[in-house]
Amino acid sequence: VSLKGEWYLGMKRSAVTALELFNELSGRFEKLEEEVKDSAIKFIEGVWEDFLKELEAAFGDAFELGLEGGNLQETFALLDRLVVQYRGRLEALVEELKRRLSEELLRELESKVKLALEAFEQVLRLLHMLYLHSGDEWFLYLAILLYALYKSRYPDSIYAIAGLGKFLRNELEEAFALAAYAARERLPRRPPAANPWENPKEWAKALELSYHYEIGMNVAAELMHEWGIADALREPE
Amino acid sequence: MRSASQNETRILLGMNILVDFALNVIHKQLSKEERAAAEFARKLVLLSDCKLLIPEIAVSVEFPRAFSRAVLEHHVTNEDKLRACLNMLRIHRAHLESCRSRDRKVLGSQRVEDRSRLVLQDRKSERI
Repeated sequence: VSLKGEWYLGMKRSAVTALELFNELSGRFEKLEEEVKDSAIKFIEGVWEDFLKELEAAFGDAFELGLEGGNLQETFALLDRLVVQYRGRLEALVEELKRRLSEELLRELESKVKLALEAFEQVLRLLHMLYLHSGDEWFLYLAILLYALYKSRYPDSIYAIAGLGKFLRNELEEAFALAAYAARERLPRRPPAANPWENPKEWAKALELSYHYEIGMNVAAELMHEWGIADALREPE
Repeated sequence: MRSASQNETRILLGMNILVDFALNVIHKQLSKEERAAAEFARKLVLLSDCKLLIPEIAVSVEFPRAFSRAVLEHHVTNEDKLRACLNMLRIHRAHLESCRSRDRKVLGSQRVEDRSRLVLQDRKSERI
């Protein structure tokens, strides 16, 4: 089965359909949006700080300075060096971070919607639904970055985590370019030939379009289908 | 649909493809043909590097009109659903609009604007 096939199978196996999720949330979207946003920001900030502390403890404070203060090319150069020099140590660090990220974020959402959210796709679907309802692009951006993190493989995941750090600093294009680089081998939309620091806009676009292709459009289309809008769209006037 | 970045193939997107683009590719109730059409449209808009020629009137008028009609006909009155529908429409439009920034062309915008201006002028002169 191809990677794309596996992804679709994952989507089909989802425990909760978009319609069930939407109905479950209906009437309390606003409250949930506020709570999820608040807790997710705190959680990602905590994860990012822990990540920097770990790096600092292991490799010295030059890494924090480079990750937080450098331009995109410097960030890539730093991460490239990290990946080559400290492969074993980083692998454990990244795995731990991914585990915490999924567990804590899932637990956070699960406790609120009281649904069985086993699959990580469900979190992405839920974030996309909050985006559809609120129109607040913050939910979309977070969903796109998490999508990249879970499409990436070690050691590339470290670029996606650096992307989360940039996201916290509101450097969105750079965040997406880093995340797109992390997931570059598994994105349905091929990234540009240029390096991400040379053309971050196109790299960000490739990630965004891939997300919409695999997650966003499916959530919207599933709802449209269930609400009968899809059938009405096909009917001639 | 991974094509070379300098793909010169041009494809004209009509309303049918825009509607297929908005529909679900994985829903089991879709027929094989519908699924194939939806999959093709979505890959074309989101993944391909083909130059898409999209009539402005389809993006700005026909698709929003068909979408609004579908919402009204199905009596979607729940506030949460309506908000989601409006945002879906906005997102679909944004995808199509972004085709411009990906070196794609939107057809007929100038012609439609000129035509609208002529119609308005005709109506004014009729009133006079």
